[in-house]
Parts: sequence; structure tokens; C-alpha cells
Amino acid sequence: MAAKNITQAVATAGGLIGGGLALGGGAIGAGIGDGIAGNALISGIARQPEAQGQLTGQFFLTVGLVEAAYFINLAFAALFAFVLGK
Amino acid sequence: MSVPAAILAADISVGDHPTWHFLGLTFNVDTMYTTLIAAALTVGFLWFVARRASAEVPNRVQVVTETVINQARTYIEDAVGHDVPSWLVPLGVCLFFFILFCNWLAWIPSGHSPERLAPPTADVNTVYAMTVVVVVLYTYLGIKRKGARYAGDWFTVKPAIRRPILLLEQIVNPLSLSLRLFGNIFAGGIMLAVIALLPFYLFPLYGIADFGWRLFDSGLIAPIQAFIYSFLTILYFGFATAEEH
Repeated sequence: MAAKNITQAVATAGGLIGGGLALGGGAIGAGIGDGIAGNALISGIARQPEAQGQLTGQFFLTVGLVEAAYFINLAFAALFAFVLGK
Repeated sequence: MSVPAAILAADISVGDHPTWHFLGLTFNVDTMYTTLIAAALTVGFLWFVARRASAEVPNRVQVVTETVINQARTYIEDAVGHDVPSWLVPLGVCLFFFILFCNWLAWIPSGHSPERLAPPTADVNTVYAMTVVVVVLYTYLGIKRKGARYAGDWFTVKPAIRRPILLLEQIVNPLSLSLRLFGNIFAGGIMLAVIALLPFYLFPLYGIADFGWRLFDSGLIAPIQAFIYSFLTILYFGFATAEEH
């Protein structure tokens, strides 16, 4: 991937920086979202231990939805880093 | 070669498919045949379970499948209520199993660039196509149930600030539905490609990392994403046929 000229070097750098920003923002959002969902799960189990099965199911559903934004960001980061940054 | 340079070598071909050009259109050949494989697995599995179904002594696979079908029926009756069309529960169940088998193709190692058994849900075309079908069907059901009120009800939504948000949702919901599934499975493929680029002196780690990631991807991400897609589809059918009281 040795850059043949300055234009290509700038394109690669831009692609990698863009990918890094997308991943960073996505990871922060996903982390906070999963943390809030986990907080609700633990509080719910603390109040009502017998609801654990149902609450855990809902937790995984929420995690799947929250991680969606992160994975979409990951797909775009791959796009920036490997395709647009060529 | 140092590790960063190895990964940055951009030997990772992202979203590359062997293509076939016909009548001015470009077809991704590997997606086409892996979709057929996943479809064959879905139909074969469900037909096999139905054939071996026994009311007295259900085996475990039958119990799991029945649980999925009953859960889909429960959600659909919750969302759509009365007069559930006969094709709706099969649609929900088939979407779940088809997406599950599509995602499970990632469990089978089949080489890197070209990856011969790439999960078809890692190709945007498959995912967009499924979403187009879902959107067409829920719009059809909404118009059949509510007629002109399908669009007319928008003018009577109570907190007026919700109206532009509802309009935005018409675009965002199908888009996020498709990209969520695509992003999850595509990222799995990229992760495997990055693991494959680990330098040779980390060879034992490569096997553990590859297996561990495939286990996480197929064991956790695949069923969750299949469930989320089919659950949200049913939810959108509910939105399309919702009656304002």
C-alpha cells in the first residue's frame, strides 16, 4: 500500500482518520447505551429476582438494537479505510 | 513486516464479489448461490421438522421450532390484532430462519478473497431486497385495511410535532432495518479477514481468535440479528395497520 504520490498518501490518511472517527463515536454510543440497558436490567433483577428470564431477554433485544448503530459505523469505517482510502 | 503495516496493507478486499454482467446489469455471483444454499437449508429444515413432528413425543428441535412459531404468532396477534392475513405468520417465521441460516454460513471457513461461502446477508443487495419485500407487504396491508386513511391519518396525529418525525420514520425504519443486519454480518466478515492477517509468529493465536470470533458471530450475533429483523418486521406491520382510537 506504499503511496505512489502525495495524493494517494493523503487519500489513505483521510480514509483511515475518517474510519477511526466513525469507530470512536460508534463505540462511545454503543458503550453508553449498553451500560444504561445493563443498569436497568440489574435494577429490575434487584427488585424482582423472579423476572430475571424475561428481563434478560429484553436486555439482549435492546443490546442488539443499540449495537446496530455501532455496526453500521463499523461497516462505514471499513468502507472509508479500505475502499475510499485506496 | 510489522503488525500495523500488515493490516494496513489493504490486502483485505472489502465487499468484493465475483460478478456476472448480463443485459447491462451486474450480478454478484457468490451472493446468488449462497442465497440459494441458505434458502434450501431453510425450506429443508422446516419441511424436515414438520415431517418428523409428533404430538406425543416432540424432539428438541421440534420444540424449539414450535416455540419460534408460537412466539411469532403472539407478536403478530399483538401487533395486527384482528383478521391476521394467512401469509403473515409464515413470513415472520421464514424471515427468522432464512436470516439465521444466511448468517450461519459464516461459521463455515471457506477461504479468504475469494470467500466461497460468504453469508449473503453480508451483501447489501440481499438485505435491501428483503426490506423492499417487507415494505411493499406492509404498505399493501396498511392500504388494504385502512384505505385512504393510511395516509390521511397522518394529518390527525395528536401532538403535531410528531408529524415530521413520523415522516422521517418512514425512511429511517426500513433503512436501519436493512443496514443493521448488513453491518452486523459484514463486520463479522471483516473481523475474520483482519484475524487472517495476523503475522505468522502469532500462529497459535490465529486459530483461537478465528474460532472464538466465529463462535461469537454465529452463536450470539446471528440469532439476535435474525430475531431483531423479524421482530421489527412484525412491529412495522403493526404500525402500518394501527387504528387511532
